Amino acid sequence: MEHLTGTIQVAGLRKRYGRVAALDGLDLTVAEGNVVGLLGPNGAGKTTALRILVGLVRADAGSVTIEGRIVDRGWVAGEQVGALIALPVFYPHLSGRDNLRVAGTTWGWSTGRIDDRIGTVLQQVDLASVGTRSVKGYSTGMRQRLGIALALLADPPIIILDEPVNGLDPAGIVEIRDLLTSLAGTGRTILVSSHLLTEVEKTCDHVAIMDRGRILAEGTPEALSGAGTDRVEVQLTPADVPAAQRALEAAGLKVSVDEGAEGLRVEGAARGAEVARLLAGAGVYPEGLVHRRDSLEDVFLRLTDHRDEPIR
Amino acid sequence: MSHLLAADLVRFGRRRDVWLVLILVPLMIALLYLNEFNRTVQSIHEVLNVDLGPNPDPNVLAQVQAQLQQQTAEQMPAFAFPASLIKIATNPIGVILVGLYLAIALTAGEFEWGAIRTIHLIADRSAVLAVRIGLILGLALLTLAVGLIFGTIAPFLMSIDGTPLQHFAAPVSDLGPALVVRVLCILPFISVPILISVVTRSTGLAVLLTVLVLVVDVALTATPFWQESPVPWLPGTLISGSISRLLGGDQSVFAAFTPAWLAVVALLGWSILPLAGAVLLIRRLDLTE
Repeated sequence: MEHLTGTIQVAGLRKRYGRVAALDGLDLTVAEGNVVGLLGPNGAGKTTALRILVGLVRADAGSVTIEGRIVDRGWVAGEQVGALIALPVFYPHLSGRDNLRVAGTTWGWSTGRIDDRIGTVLQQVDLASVGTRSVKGYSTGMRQRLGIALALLADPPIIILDEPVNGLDPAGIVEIRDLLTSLAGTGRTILVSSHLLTEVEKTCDHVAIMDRGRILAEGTPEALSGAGTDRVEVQLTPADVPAAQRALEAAGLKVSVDEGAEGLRVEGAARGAEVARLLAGAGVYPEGLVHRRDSLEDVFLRLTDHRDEPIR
Repeated sequence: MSHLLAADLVRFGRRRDVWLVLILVPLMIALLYLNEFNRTVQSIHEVLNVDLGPNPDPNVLAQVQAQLQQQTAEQMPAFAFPASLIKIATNPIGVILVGLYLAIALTAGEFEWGAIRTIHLIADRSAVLAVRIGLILGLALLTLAVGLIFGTIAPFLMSIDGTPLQHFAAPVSDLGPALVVRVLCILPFISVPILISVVTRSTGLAVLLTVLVLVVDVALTATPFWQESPVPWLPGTLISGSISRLLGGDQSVFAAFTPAWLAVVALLGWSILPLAGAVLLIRRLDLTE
């Protein structure tokens, strides 16, 4: 990352649960005003990282600072950092409004300010019509929205959201994505973890891909996608595959055979026209030829694919 | 701190179980007092059940009357105000139940629901627990206070054999210290379950372990082994032993071994140390709920 200092600074974070290393030297910097997406498969260590980030859990090693303050278990997110970690938990006997009122009262707000902010955030997460209903009757998606409402209640400059669209229906996902986009436009610093690549790609201006407790790659979504090699996918009849492979490799191109042996992948910056010319020279005429560039999903899957490795 | 207390009142102001306990326990305290009064009156009246035949000897009748009056004069002052306050505070099972219930429900419950995670995000968890402890103590003492108000009013409305109960009222020396000691006796039943709640982070386990700790405490206190041991004063410093020592005064079986001041110190220790431990511990916990 190009920034030397950030609003959120994570250095060498390590955490073990028994024999499993949940975090293995995690480094992450979130600069002021950035919307950073933390991507990773289930079990990558995203939630553990965010739990440590807000002081819920102590790291075995490493440090976290937010706005220059060291985060430990005495640190309180309070009004400065709005956070949603895992599935949010509320008092089931209280209404959505009263659950939010607990936070406002804790912060010593006036009744007028509490009511005003509760009205605003419930509107933002589309819960205004059910705000007076007891939380025990809320669906998972509604609880998730209420958790986001709590994170936004103090209108904080820093927002940390762990899987904010978990449990939401497609319409809800779009609403929350739009909400995050509008929040990002106000200059807030936002760190959001997710395994939904499309959402992160559409919302974040910086992405960090983590797996097995470490950051594997980071950058803008465009840069990460661009970092993957361009390729030309060639569709062939199975009988033509060996001859085509020989011709292309003889020209110094890196070639791999697609699963099912019905095509070839020509890696690198090869142009489709050049591939077609080489194949024609070898007397092979492809059924199809497409130039592709890696999407964020391709990069993510390539980096986090451990199918050939033994399970830890 | 006042903000945290206000937040707790929002949290628990609509808990029906809390209201139920706060309403039922003062009723229970009143019923226990009235029940004991009725049993005492019945035992005094037992002398009237002697069959004196159709033409009782006037001397025997006079003796029965005298015995009745003597027993009434001996036993009724304990029910008349201000001794009624001691009577109510000496039988604080209701207040202890309030303390036990609230301590576990409002402390372990936060871990059970997972709400402790939300608490951590909005406020200092140690400060929240410290205020919660104050709230629980306050509510337990409130039920005792309601009981004491009943104990102040009821004797003026009661009578025995047509004589107003307050006719038997007698001054009570050291009323204030006696009440303070009785309040002190309630505190371990709040502080110990709060510590156990934070350690176990589970309502069920907290109930189980609290009962076990109290049963073991009573069992250790009652073991005759101690009197022959090099530390015969020890049972008088356990929870039940120190309470027995202080409420029993010089009549207590521990009076010979445990001085009253040591029992007071022990009871203070059982009251304060678990609470301090709970407040310190909750800050150190990894909240993985």
